[in-house]
Amino acid sequence: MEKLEQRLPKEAKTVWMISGVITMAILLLFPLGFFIARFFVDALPLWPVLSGLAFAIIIGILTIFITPNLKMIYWGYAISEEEVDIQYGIIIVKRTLIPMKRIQHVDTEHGPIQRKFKLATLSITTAGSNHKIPALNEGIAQTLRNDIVRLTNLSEDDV
Amino acid sequence: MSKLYRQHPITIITGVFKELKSYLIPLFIFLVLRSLGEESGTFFDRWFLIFILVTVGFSLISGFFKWLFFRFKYSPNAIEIFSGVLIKKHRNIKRDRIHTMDLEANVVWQLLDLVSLNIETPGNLDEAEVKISAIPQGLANHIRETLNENGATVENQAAASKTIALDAITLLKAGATSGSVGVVFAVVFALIGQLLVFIPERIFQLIAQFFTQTDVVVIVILFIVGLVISWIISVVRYVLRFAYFTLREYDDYLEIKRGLFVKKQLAIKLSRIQAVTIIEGLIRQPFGYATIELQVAGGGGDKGESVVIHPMIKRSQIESFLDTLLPEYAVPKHFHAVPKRALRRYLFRASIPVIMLLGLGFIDTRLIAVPLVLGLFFIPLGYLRYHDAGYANQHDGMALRFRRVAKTTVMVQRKHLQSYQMITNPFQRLKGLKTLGIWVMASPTPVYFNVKDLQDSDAKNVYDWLKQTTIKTS
Repeated sequence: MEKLEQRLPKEAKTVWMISGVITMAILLLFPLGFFIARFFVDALPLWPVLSGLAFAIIIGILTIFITPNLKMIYWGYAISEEEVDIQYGIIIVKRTLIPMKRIQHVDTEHGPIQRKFKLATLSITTAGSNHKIPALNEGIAQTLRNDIVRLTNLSEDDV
Repeated sequence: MSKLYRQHPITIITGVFKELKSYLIPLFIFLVLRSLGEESGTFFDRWFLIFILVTVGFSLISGFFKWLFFRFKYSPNAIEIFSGVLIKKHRNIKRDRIHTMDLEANVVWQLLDLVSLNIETPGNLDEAEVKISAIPQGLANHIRETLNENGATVENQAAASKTIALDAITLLKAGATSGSVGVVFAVVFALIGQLLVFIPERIFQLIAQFFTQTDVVVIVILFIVGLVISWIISVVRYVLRFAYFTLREYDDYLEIKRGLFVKKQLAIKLSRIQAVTIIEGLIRQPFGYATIELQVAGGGGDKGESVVIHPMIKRSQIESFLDTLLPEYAVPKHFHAVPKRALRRYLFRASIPVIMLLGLGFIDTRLIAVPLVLGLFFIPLGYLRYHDAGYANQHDGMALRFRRVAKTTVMVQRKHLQSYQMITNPFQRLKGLKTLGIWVMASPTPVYFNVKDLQDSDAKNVYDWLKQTTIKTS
């Protein structure tokens, strides 16, 4: 499988790992709560604690160590004067081409962790579809936005 | 020009009838129950009557006030609408914001020479359409003329350069092969299901007895009778919808008129056409007929329906039809087919429902007949899907051909492609196949078309071709 030259910024991995840690922490609350409850109610069995723990750890390993790395490997994009080209997906690989002139608007959104690392999720909307790049440096997002404004001024007749 | 207009007072009555219609089914059930002598009692009866009277009275009064406060005026630049009883609403629609203005009329209005003017504007689904119902035909036409973009009047404009009308026999043929039997059949079944709740136990037992005691043959015959009735209903529905179908071509728009009881008049600007779809239904295809539809950006269509520009056309005439009407959408002569190695995947996908239903065999070995019979339909369908799938690209546009049930050919111009996508799953990667998808703007929602399991290199070619051509368009 051919890869696109632009990769996601390194910080993206950190962001995903941090959110993985948060996910795991939340999942750990359930077995923890149950564990504490056992001190007060005698009849409660032990297996929910153990299975909850196992579940949280498995998800934790996945979201902290595995998927961030895989996403880094499999996500790629290329932004040129004429189009935005995106490729992503581990099992089902999707490659999308969006002509610049079809883009209607570009939104950026960033959560608290993303903001800390100066990253933004870029959402590209055409008249017919919506596409997202999960992490971009704010600078790149800005350049892209300017490009689009410039290019959309050229033609308006089609839609 | 700033005279304020009101709708015809008949809208009040129409409103009441609409309200009443929603009580029709409960009322019917109620009457049936009563005649069966169950749960009778004058007490219950009286309350029901009072309830209906109150509802009618209330909707009469509210309808009257709504009518009283709904006023509009128009000028060459805009149409203004004032409405709302307690919360006043003032809407000003600028001329350039109007996508389409369509006329519609039901039977009663036709007698009174009234129409409803549907104004389509860009925006959210709810807000996008403004309906001014029950105004005189003449006024509606005048509004359309006044607000027409070019200032050219509908009447004065040069006569249509092309007119296509549907004769009665073609219409009947089209109705008979429309393939909407399934839909009607499903609705009939759903209705029966709904009614079951209300049927008293006594009758229910009778029916159950009937089914357990009679032959399978009788049940099959009943089923067939139901199917035939559904088919007749579907033909009637179709004929009512497409009666008097005429298509006129003007300089920059197409005008479509159709319908018997509910008359519709649509105007579609040529510049808003996004794609042309040729649909060869399972029943029509053997007879060599197809339907041609349009995907139009921002209105022009009925709610959730694409615009039919020819309900029933001979396959051999499609080329000349499109050539005169929409020359930029020619059906490509040659389609790149899907490679042979994709056949197994096509057959597999089609047989998934069959495989899933094989589980029925565990419940009762006789039930295994269900998936087997379905297999007789689905597996050939899978083959047909494989057989029909393909794509074509020319200098200016591309075409996808695929089949869900009906064989569909979509033709899109390059400049109307919103985005494209190549998708592969691991099995496709093993075999070197790719799915190619495109997004096209349409009303009310964008549409996504795809062709599955194209040759790897073919999909790549299209992708590169699209990439290349995006430069040239500027």
